[in-house]
Amino acid sequence: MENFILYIIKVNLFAAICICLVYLLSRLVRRKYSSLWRYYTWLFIAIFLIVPFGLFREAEVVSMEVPYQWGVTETTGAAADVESIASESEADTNSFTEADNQVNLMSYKQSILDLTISDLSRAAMYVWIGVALGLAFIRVMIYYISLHSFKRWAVPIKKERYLKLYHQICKENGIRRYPRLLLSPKLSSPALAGLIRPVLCLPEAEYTEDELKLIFKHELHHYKNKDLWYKLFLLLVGTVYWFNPFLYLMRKEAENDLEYICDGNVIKASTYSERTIYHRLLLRTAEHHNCIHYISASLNDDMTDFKERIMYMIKLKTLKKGRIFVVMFITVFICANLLVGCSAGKAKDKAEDKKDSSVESVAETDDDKSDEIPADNSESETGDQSNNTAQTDNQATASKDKEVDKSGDYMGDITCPNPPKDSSYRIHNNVNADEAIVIYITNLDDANIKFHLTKASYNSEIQSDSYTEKVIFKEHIAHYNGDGYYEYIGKDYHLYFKYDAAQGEVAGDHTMAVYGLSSIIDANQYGGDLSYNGTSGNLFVMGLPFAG
Amino acid sequence: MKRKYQRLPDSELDIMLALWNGKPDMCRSEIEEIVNEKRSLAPTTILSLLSRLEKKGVVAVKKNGNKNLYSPLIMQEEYQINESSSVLEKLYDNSLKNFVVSLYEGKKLSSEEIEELRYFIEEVEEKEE
Repeated sequence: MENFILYIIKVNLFAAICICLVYLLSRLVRRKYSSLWRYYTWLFIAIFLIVPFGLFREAEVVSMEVPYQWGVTETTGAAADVESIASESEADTNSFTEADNQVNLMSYKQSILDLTISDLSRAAMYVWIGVALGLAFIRVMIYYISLHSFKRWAVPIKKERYLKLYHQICKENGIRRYPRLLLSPKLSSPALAGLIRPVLCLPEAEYTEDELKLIFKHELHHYKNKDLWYKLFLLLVGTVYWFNPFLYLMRKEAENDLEYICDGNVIKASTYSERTIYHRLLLRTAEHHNCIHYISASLNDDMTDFKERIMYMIKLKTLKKGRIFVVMFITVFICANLLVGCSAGKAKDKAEDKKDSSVESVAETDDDKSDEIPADNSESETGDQSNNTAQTDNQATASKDKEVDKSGDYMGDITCPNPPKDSSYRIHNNVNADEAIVIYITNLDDANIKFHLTKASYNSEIQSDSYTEKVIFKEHIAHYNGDGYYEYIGKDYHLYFKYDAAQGEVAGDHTMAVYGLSSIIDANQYGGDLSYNGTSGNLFVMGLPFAG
Repeated sequence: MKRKYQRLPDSELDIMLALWNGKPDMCRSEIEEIVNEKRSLAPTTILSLLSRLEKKGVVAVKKNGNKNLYSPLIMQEEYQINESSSVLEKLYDNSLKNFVVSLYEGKKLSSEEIEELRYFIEEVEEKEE
């Protein structure tokens, strides 16, 4: 979700930059180029914003990473005296509690106060969608109410002169289904309204035949060009991305452009006298206009816009289309969006691990690196950094690997009727009694378990009742498959776990059969007489190694 | 003193528009003919709407033989100004800009501004010529 939010922010930033550039460029070249290029550029920006082209992210060359996590991690543990000698000193303070010698429920409480980008993006998503939906609802309501208000006073025009001319202009423009012609005493400017069944509404003012001709040409060009749809599409984009103020600028500019283009079309093939009539018609409309507007930033805005509109018509014949600008902006915008990626930082995995983890293992420093048993291949790419050291009496503490590949993890949703207890399960070496393999299980939600394996070595020479552990299979998640087994499908390992809850109270009666570890667990030393789905398995018994 | 009118529902306003746009003293069938150009209303509906308008004091009824003749008691402009001054109407007018395309979408210009623009237009037209 965070990447989606970052994508939204990214495209809005690019859109804002693009809008500013178009705005500035148009100020420079407005006497040389028509408004057509701006019309298409606005449309393109709006389409790009509304369609999630961000799915094609493979091409990104520049990648911006946003720090995944801010804040402090605070962990409270039941056991206080944990001696942790982590080679990489992180604020990764997890504590491990051994409750009993048999059932070592690794109960500890971890509260994380971290402010992750995931939390922020979730909050941002709720606010964004909430406001957008609210705004959309309000705008749809206003649309219906104001359209109703628009049509409320309108009456069909019966003047033969008007109707005849109107039908003639419609025919000239190749319009078969023409909008209904109405007259409204509330209007001061001719207007086209309505998406499904549009109506052309004239004010009560008297118009000459030439003026009517120009009015019909103007409004029917809007109708033919589907300018109302264009306008509403930009309004929709502005509603979705309500937080982007540049979209308001884009809408205002686009509305002006629609009028410029329409004016250009009306006077394109007109005579000098028709043009002067059109100029005066516009002036007359502005003079009697009674539309109430929000307070504008500048009092001279409308006058400047009017002058610009007249100048545009005067210069029209010398203006170029400016297709090059459309191509330029489209290319730059697409390239910038596709080549620049924005994602949450890699610390994500780490932060998520902190949140999810309830099992930590400690690996004792071992000078003899050759003893290291390869972990899951999927993890080997990131490297095993679990050689941190710690030693306690009958206590196993852990240092979490910095980077764990979670690609094999899958969270299932089938609830296990008999989920395993959070505990360690061990299996002793038949040949060397000082060695054992331990699997740590944490029940996440009755549908998923978290597990990791260690190899324990008894330190009979150093101190009695002490042992060291080394991670041989890093922490992963297995899901309940509905057939009585938990399943983990990694890159190189396909594991099954079968928990057997004993009726009795003794921890040793609880067993965990693990299938698919034959490459890690030597059958000669640890047995492996179980079989499921063609894979051999070993039976682990609940409890700590070398105890009981 | 300026009289305040209650906002008329759509169908009642349609009757009033027919009365304002038609000749003075219209009978029910004449009103029906005009109203039906915009929306189709049954004769009984038109009669009940007329009686409601009469009760509101905006329509006068005159007996002419076996026919009732109706005429408006208020001017269209008077009622229109009354309705346009309501906050809701102002809001609708404001929002309307988003959903229509019109010949001129700016705000009303002052007479000084209009004069300045007229001069500007003449100037550029002269240059063009």
